Amino acid sequence: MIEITINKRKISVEEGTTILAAAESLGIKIPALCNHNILKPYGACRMCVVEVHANGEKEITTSCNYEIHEPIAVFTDSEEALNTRRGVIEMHLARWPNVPAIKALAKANGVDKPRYEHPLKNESKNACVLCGRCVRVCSEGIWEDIITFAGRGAERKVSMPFDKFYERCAGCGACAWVCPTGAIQVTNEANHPVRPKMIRNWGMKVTSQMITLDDQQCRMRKIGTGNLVEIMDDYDLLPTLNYQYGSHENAKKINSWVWQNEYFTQGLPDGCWYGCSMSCAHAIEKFELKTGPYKGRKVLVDGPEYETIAACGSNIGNFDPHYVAELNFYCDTYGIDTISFGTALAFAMECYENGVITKEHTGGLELTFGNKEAACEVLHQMSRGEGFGMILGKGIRNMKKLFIEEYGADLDFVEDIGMENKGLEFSEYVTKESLAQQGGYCMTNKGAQHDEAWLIFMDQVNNQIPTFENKADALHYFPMFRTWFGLVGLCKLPWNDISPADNAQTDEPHKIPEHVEGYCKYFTGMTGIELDSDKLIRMSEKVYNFQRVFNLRLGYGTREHDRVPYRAMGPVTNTEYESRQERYDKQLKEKVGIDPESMSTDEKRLKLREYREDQYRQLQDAVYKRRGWTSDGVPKLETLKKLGIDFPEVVEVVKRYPDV
Amino acid sequence: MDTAKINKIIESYNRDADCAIEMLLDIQDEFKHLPEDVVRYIADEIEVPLGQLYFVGTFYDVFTLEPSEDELPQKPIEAFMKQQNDKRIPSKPDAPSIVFRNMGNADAGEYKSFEKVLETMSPDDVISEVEKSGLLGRCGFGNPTADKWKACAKAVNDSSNPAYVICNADEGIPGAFAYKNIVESDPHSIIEGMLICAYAVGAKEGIIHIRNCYSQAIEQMAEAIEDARAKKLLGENIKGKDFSFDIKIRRGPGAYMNLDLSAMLESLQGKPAIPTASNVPLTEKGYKDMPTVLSCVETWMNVPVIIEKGGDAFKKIGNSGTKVVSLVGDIVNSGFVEVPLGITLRELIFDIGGGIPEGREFKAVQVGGPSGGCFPADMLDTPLDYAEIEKAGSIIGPGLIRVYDNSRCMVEAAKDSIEFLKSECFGKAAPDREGSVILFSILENISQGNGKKEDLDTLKSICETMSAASLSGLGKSAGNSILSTIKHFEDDYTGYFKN
Ligand code: SF4
Ligand code: SF4
Ligand code: FES
Repeated sequence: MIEITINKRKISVEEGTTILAAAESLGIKIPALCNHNILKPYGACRMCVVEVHANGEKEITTSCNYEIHEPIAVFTDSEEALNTRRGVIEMHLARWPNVPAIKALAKANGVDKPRYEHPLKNESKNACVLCGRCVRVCSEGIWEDIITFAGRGAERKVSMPFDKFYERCAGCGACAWVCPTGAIQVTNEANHPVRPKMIRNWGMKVTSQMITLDDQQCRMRKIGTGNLVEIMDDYDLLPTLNYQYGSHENAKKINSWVWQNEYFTQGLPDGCWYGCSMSCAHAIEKFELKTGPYKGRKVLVDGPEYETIAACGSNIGNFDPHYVAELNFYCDTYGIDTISFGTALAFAMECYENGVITKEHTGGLELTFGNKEAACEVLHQMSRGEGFGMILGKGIRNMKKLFIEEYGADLDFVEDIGMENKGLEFSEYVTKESLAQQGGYCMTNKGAQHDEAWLIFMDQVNNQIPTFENKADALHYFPMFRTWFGLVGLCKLPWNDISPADNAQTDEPHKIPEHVEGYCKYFTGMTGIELDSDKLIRMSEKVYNFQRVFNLRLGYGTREHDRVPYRAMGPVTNTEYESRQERYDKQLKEKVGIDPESMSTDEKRLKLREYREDQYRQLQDAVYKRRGWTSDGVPKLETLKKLGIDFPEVVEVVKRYPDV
Repeated sequence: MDTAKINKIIESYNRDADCAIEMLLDIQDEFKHLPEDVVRYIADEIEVPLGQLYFVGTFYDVFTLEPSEDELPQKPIEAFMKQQNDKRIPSKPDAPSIVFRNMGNADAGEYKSFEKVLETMSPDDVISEVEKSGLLGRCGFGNPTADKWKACAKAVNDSSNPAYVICNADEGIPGAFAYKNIVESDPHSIIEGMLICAYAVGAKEGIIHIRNCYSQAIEQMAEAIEDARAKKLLGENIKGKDFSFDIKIRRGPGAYMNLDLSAMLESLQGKPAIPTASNVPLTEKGYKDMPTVLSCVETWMNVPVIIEKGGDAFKKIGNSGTKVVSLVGDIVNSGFVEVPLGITLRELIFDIGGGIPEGREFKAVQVGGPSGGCFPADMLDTPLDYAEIEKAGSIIGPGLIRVYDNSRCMVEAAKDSIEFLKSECFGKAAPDREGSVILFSILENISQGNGKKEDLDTLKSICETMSAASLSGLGKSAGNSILSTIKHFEDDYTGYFKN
C-alpha cells in the first residue's frame, strides 16, 4: 500500500492503482472522456490531466493512465491543471460543437465558445470524438478486433478494414454500448426483439462484469471451467480412482495453471458463441497425437473442460495432461461423451483391480488405474466396434449386468461402485459429504448429471442449506431454474460463473439474484412478456413435471429409480473408510451418537452406511413433498392441476400409482 | 491471388506476426499497393487482426491501398532534406571525432572495447564508466544513457525477465537522415555498443530497426553481423564466456516518431507506431513488456569510445562528447558534420557552415528540426548543449539545424514546421492532433492577412496546452517554433495585421 494525497486528502492505495481510480474512491471527480471502467486506460482525450508532485518535481499529467508507484501529491484542480484541461476541452468543442457529451464537459469546466474556428469542424450531434472506446472494447473485451482506427494525424478515423462492413463482426453491440456519443448505433436487430435496448443493456452489464471481474473470480476467459480442478482437489471433491477419493497429490499436474500456461491458446474470441465475452471455450493448437488413427498428426483439441480433465484424468488415475487432451480429442472425433467414457472406464478399472474382470475379459488389456495407453486403446476399440471397447461402450448399467450375470461378479460390490443413475454415468464430483448433491444427481429426470442441480458448495462448504427442508427447497428451485435455460436456449454460465461484485451482500447470494433478474430481462426484452423469478420457476415446473410423467410412462421415475450407488454416499471399502477415518468417526460420534472407539472398521463402515442411507430416504421424502409428488416420487394430481398440465393422457399415467 | 508468392514472403519471416509490417513492405514492393485479398490472406495466415494490418496500411506513407505506378509523393520537407543533407561537410581541423572515427578505416570491427569489458570489467563497472562519461541520449531529449542501463539492469535483476537491447535506425525525423551514413560507414561500432550494453544489463537479444529504404545500410549491417558471428562475437557463449547475445535486423517503414520510443516498439510488433500511454518506463516494460534499452544509432556509436578512453576522459571531450548535426537552409555549406558539444551556434554556422550565402544576413536559426525553437542573432552565442538549448526554448533532438536569412518571414517558418508536424502527428491524442490542425489554420489565417492581435495570445495558449497535455513528444514540443518566433520575431506577425 502506498499513501498519497489528492487535494490534500490522504488515501492509501494499492501499488499500481491509477490516480483517476484513487480519486474516484475519494469521491473526487476528474473529467475523463476516453476512459471507461471496463477498459484499459488509453490516454487519448487528455481531459483527465492533473498536477502531480513527485520527488520534489511537479508535472501536469493524465490521471487515467498514471500508475501510482510512490508517494505523490495530486492536485486535480490546480490552476495549471484546470487551464490545461480547459484548453483540451476547447479543442474538442471547436471540432465537435454539438456532441452532448462534449458540451456537458465544456459547461462543467467553464469553457464557453472556442476562441478559434476548427477547420475540421463537424456539427453532427453524434460525431465520433476518436476516444477509441469502441476499438478497445472490441479488442480487449470481445477479443474480436473488428472495428479499428485508420489513418494518421488529423485523418484518423474509426473504421472497419478497407472501409466497409467486415463480415466477421459478431454484431454484439459492445462498441455501440461504450460509445459516448452515439456515433455507433445498432440498427439491424436480427431477431426482432420487442425491447432491444433492454436486452443490450443487460448483456453489456454482464460483459462489463466479465471483463473486469473474471480474472479474480473464475478465470473463465483464461481457462474456462478447468479452473475447478484445484478447487475441487482442495475440498476433497475431485473424483479420483472411480470416486474412491476426492483429492490426489498428483492433481497439480493437471490443474488449471498447467492448461493455461502450457496448453491453451490465450486471448482468442469465443469459438462457441460469436462475440460472447466469457469466451470460456478453450482449445489446444498444434497438439501432436501419440496414438490412434491420427498418430503423429498435429490437431486442434477443443477443450478440455473441467469434466473431461476429471473424467479422463484423475478419475481413471491419469495425471498426464497430454493423455487427457488425447482422450478428449478422440472422444470428440468418435462422437463419444468424455464424461460417460471416463466414468465407465474408471468403473471397469476398479473392477479389473479387484479381479471382477481379468485380462481374459479385456482381451489382454492391463486395465489398471493410470494406464493411459490402455485407456486410449479401449477408446479406439470402441470406435472400431472391437474387443473390450464394445463392452465398455455399452455403459456402466450394461457392464454391471454382464459382470454379474456372466462373469459371476459380486452383485453388491458392483452395484455400489458402478456410478450411474437411470443409466447415465455420473459427472465429475464426489458427493459423499453433500447429501443435497446426492439428491441433485439422482432425484433427477435425466440421470446423474449436474445440469439440473449443483449444490455441493452451498451445502457442504458454505452450509447454507442445513435442514432437510432447506435442501428440499434447493432441490426444487435449482432444477427448475436450470431447466429454464434449456427451455429458452440460453447459456447458463453467465448466470453463476461470473457474479456481480456485490453479490455476497444480497439476501440469497447462491441464487445470484441480480443475474436471475437479468435473465428475466432477456426474456421480457425478446418477447415483450413480463417475467419475474417466480414466473420463471413456474414455467420450468410445468416442463419438469411433464418430463417426470414422461419418465413414468417409460417405466422410470419412481422412488426406486432415484437410488444412489453407495460410492456416491459414503465409503464402500475399508480402505476408503480409513483414508478419511477422522471425518467418518467424528460423524458417527456427533451425528449417529455412537462411540467408534472400540469398533472395527467393518462395523463402523456399516453403521455409517445405515445412517447415510437413512438420511437420503428422509431427503427423498422432503424433496418429493416440496415438489408436490407422492412419497413414491410421482407428481400428484393437484400438482398437475396447479400447473395446468392435467391433460387426460398425463392424468392417466399418474393415476396408476397410489396416493396421487 | 498468387498464394505461392505470398506464402514465400510469409515464410521468409517464419510466419512471425511481429514482422507483419515487413511482410506488407514486401507486398507493397511486389504489387505497388496492398491488395485487399492479399492483406486478408496474410492476416489469416499469421493470425493478426485484419484491422491491425489495415491500420498499418493507412498509417504509413510508404503504403497505398490503390494501385499506382507513380513514385510515392514525397513530402516537401523530406525532399528538401535529402537534397541538402546527404553529404558530409568537414568539421574544424582539430575537432574530436567519435561517431565518424572509423570512417574509411579498415581496422574497424576489432571490438577492442568489448573485449576489454568481457575480460576485465563487471557489469557494474561498465555502467559506472558510462555514468562518468556523462553520455546523454543523442537524438531525443538528452536523457542520461547510464540511467537507462541502471534501470534496465535493476529490472532484469528484480524480475529475471529477458531484456532487449534495441537500436533505432528507423527514425524518420528530418535530420536523422545522417544515420543512414553512420550505419553504412561503421556498422561494427553499433554492434559493439549494443554488445557492451547487453553485457552490462544482462540482455540476450538485440534488434536493429532500420528504415526499409536504406537498403545499402541494411546490407552493410547484415554483413557486419555475419562477420561478428563468424568471429564468435555474437551468439552463444561469446569468446567462451558465460555471455550470449545476438542481434537481428528488422526493417521498418520509417516514421516520424520524434523519438517516442514506445511508438517504435509498437512498430517492431507489427502495429502502427503510436505511443502507448504509460508512466512505467520502457526500461521496465518495453519490447514485449520486457525490460528494454532503446537508443538511437548515434548513442550506440559513443559507447565503445567511452570504454576505450574511460568515462572521465570522454567527459572532457567537448561537453561530454560530440553530436552529429545537419546544417540546412540558407547556409553556404549544407550537410552533416560531427561537432563537439558545447560549440556555440555562431561557430557552427559561421566557421563550419561558412555563414550565409549571397551577401544576405543571418536572421534566425531553428535548432532541433520542426519541433525546435527559432533563435535570433543575439542568441548565437548559445552553446550547443542539451541543458543550454532547452533553457533557450528548444531541443537538440536529432541535430537538425536550419538557418534562415533575412529574406525569410518567420511566420512562414513556423507555419512550415507546424504543417510538417500536423501531417506526421500520430493522431491518437486530442491535443497533439487537434492542436496542430488548429495552430496551422490560425497561422495560415494570419499569413493571408486575416489575423488579429489577439491571435497571438490564442496561439500561445494553445501551445501551452499542447506542451502540458500532449501524449507524444511531437505534440509536447510542437509549440516551440511558434512560441520562439512570437517572442523573438513578433514584428513578422504584426506586419500581417491590418490595423
Ligand atoms: S459489434 Fe462487437 S464484434 Fe462488431 S465491431 Fe462492435 S464490438 Fe466488435
Ligand atoms: S465511435 Fe464512439 S466510441 Fe468509437 S472512437 Fe468514436 S466516439 Fe469513441
Ligand atoms: S481519460 Fe485520461 S486521457 Fe482520456
